[in-house]
Amino acid sequence: MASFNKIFGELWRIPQEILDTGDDERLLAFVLDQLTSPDLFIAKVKEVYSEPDLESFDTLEFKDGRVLERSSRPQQIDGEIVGRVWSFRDITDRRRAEEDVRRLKNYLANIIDSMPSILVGIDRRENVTQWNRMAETATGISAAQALGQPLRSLLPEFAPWIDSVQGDVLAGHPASREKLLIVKEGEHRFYDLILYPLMANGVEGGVVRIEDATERVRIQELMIQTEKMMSVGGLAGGMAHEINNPLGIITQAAQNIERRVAPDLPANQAVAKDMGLAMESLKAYFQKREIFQFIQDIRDASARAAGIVSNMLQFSRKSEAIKQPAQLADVLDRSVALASSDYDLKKAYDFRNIDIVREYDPDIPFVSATVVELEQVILNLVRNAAQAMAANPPERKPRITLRVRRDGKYAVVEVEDNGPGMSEAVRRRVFEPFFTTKEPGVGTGLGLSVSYTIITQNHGGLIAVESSPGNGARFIIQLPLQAEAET
Amino acid sequence: MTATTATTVLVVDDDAPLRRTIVAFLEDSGYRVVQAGDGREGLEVFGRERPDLVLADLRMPVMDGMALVARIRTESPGTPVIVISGTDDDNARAAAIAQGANEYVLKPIRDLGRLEAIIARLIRSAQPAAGNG
Repeated sequence: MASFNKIFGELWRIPQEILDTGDDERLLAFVLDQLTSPDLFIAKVKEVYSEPDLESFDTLEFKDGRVLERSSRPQQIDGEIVGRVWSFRDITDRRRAEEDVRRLKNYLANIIDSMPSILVGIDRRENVTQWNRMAETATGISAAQALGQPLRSLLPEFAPWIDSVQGDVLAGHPASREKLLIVKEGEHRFYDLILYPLMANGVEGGVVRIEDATERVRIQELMIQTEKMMSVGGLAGGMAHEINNPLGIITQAAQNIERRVAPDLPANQAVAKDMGLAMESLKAYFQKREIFQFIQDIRDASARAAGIVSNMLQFSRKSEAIKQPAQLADVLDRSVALASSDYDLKKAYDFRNIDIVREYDPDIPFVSATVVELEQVILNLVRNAAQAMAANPPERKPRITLRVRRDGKYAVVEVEDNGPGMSEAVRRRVFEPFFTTKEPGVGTGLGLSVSYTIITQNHGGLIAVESSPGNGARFIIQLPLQAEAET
Repeated sequence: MTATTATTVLVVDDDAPLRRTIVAFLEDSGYRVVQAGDGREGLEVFGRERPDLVLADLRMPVMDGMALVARIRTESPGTPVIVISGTDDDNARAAAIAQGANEYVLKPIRDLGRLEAIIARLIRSAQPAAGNG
């Protein structure tokens, strides 16, 4: 070593004592000891000295984390190589900054990718600039395919919603839409959509976040439903007694009227005779004036009202019926048998014309259930299906598909029809007490709400419905399997 | 269907129009019917008239049906009592039967003819020794 400047000693942290001796061996040993890969250092030195006109450039990593940049070039005097100049520069800070940036980039990418929502960045022309992993999973489109593509071609089902909030976003405000219903392959899912502008220098683009809210919406629906049921239950108990008394008067008085205009009752004959009234004429008159029909209507109506009261009591009554192991396939078959012998169903809906398709998974364990209650639920679903399918056009043959399968800890029963289906507004309300789409007198609006109570409160299960206009309806019942039910 | 004039039925209910529907029906069938508007009055009439059978509502002022049933049971263990109630509740039914009621009939009564059949059966079985004429 011929010469070095002061910085050299400082960079390498060489003690003055060694510098003073000028002992190259000691100097080299000291230098090598500081490096993480001394072999590379030596190799480089050997390489450049074997080729005198070689210029080289590399970095040296120190055990203490510092990084020096090393360059070496031949020293020439009048075009002749006379030696080498080595220069060193401390680039530790630059290295660290680069490292930090890389780590931060990874970290941000990780945050974006790990997000359990679809996150899409768009530029001003709504072309995709960012497409996270959830977006890949949800759409099946990779980030590489998505980048640069127009947003609405990648997420067409959300395009109308994005349009509806575009004004806000262009004006620089975030905008959101909640509980958007998207029907995909017959399945109903709900999404929350949030759009916000990227605002570094004016609006540079935006971010779309889409979250699957299906589970949340279902739980909300369930809670609302349960609350409604409970309030109805509380009212029902007290109301039932109060209503049954006047109903008793109505129906029992009607029976007395009927009896007191009958010609054959001795008490009637005695009074009629006293008054010079011919009972036969009276009866004929009543018949002609349809009085008997009106009386019958009164009795029928009060019987209907009594039926509603008794159904309502089901809400307040905690089932005390004994639960027993039940084979769901048997329950379904018995309910169908009941339905086919139901006079009203036979008469009005010709139950024999309906195809019954059974898709029973053979390996379904027993569930703990009150069988008559389950049968009531299934019978009710089957009856509703039959009534709905009466509206089918002739080319669509009524069909009820019954399924039993297992889903984790639950046994699942499905009752599906190919009737006209229902709108979302109707679907949401079907389990509500007194909600009915049937003609007055045909339905009380209590069948499904009682079914709901039986499944959720008496059996610890769940009942839901999927349907859309034109696509039939599918009721899904989940019942805890016996092992869980008993613990 | 027509009972002998000697057969007396006591109807106890605080709802007068409702009571009237039962009284009228039984009278038309030939029963002698006496009535009361609450439990205590019912007990008085019971002591005075010694009916062959009692029909009693459950929810009544002054003395309710449960208490009335219990009192009649102690005074006259053999007299059949039918509880007529607007409460469709298994617990109420069980309690009434435990107090000694022979039957628990729900209001509204859709077929008074069936009530009458129950009355006739209970009276028959309560008086097995009494010969019929």
